[in-house]
Amino acid sequence: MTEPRDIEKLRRWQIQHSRYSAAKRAAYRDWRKRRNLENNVGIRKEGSILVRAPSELSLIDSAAATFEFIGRILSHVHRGHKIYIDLSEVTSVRQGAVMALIAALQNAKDNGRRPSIRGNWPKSDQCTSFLVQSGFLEYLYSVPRQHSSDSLFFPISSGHDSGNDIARALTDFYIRHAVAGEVSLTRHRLYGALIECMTNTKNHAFTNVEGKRCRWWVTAHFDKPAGRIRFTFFDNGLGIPTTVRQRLMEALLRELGPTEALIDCKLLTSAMNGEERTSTKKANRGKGLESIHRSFTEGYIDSLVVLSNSAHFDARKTDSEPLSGPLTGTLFTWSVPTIPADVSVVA
Amino acid sequence: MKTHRIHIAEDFSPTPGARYRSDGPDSGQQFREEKLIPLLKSDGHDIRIIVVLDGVYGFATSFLEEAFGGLAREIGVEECLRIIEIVSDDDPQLVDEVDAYIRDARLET
Repeated sequence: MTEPRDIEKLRRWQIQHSRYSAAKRAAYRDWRKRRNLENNVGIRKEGSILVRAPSELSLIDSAAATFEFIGRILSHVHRGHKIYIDLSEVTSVRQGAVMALIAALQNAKDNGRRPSIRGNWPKSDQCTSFLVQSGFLEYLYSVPRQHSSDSLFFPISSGHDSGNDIARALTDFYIRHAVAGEVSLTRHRLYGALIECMTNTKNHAFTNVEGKRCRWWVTAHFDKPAGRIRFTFFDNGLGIPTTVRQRLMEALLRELGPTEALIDCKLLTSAMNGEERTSTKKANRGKGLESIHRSFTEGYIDSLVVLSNSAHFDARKTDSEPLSGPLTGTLFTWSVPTIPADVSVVA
Repeated sequence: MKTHRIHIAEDFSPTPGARYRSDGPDSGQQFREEKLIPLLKSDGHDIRIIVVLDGVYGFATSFLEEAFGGLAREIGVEECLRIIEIVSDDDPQLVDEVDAYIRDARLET
């Protein structure tokens, strides 16, 4: 049996004959510590890997940092690590980023992973309120939903086919907050747009995808000061540029890699404009995206933005732009004014 | 000539769904098969069907195309145009939209 005295002797011998001096070893320890700090990995908080959220969680306004944040969480989930999400510095949250994170975690769960995630609250009360009322915590930490009927949020809800009931509830959410009462045409277009998103997801987004269950997420938030309700729809399927009919040259260029983002932009713009892109090749098909875009051009909805794969479509602009980081799936977001332009409200 | 009136919101659903039954509840296919075709089977083609679109939450384009374009594919475009009359006071644009779906069904028949 080795005596403690021998172990101590061995340790001293190792230090004396080490290739690295004590100073070098200390420098190496410092470098690792700094690297971990920079990468936000390896630092442990209460036995979990600490992952810091960027100050702005948004796929539109802060895409690169948000993609990196979600990617980092997923990489730890796949390695079976326990995660502690530090949300303390978050000052702005958008529904799309929250739903993309939920979708990614749900997909990991579907594939047998059991994410162990804990975390803290943002210092910003507004962001905390957003996360609580949006239903985010229900998905992330499996805590009961905290939602009241007079809430400014329609909690994140999911489905796998044309969810008429959810589309109806979302439309009722709009009607409840519309200052001028029910606005028939806006109601029509809103409900139609929601069903289009849901059906497109079911019929196209998960075709021939292994290891993923067809699922979409939708939510709404009433921005009272702005007098607008923002609707956000997300699916983590194949994405519109992948599922629309590609012309031969587009398919070839897309395979090449460097031009993929540009081709995605072209395909997304083309699909939103209702050009003949339907994979069914039948007449009067593939009109759903065009009808959503038409609701924008006719003024029933505004701020329409669609992110899909590597493309960012903003309805106010003519062409799509490359997205800073590829999105797995498609995000639709638009606003509906609660006070129509032709209605004057007397305080 | 017998005239039937179908008010989608009351006689079918206030929340119409998408194209096929497999897409979810209250689809265009379901509407065509449960509301339109039975009338043609029971009373023959010498009828008029007035379909009122008002009162629903809204329509997906695929619902309307499958319900009315689908009917035109089954019985023929001219026959469908003669039998079906669309009423939509809430959203008058829908009358032309349905008309286009019926006429374009010619391309597939």
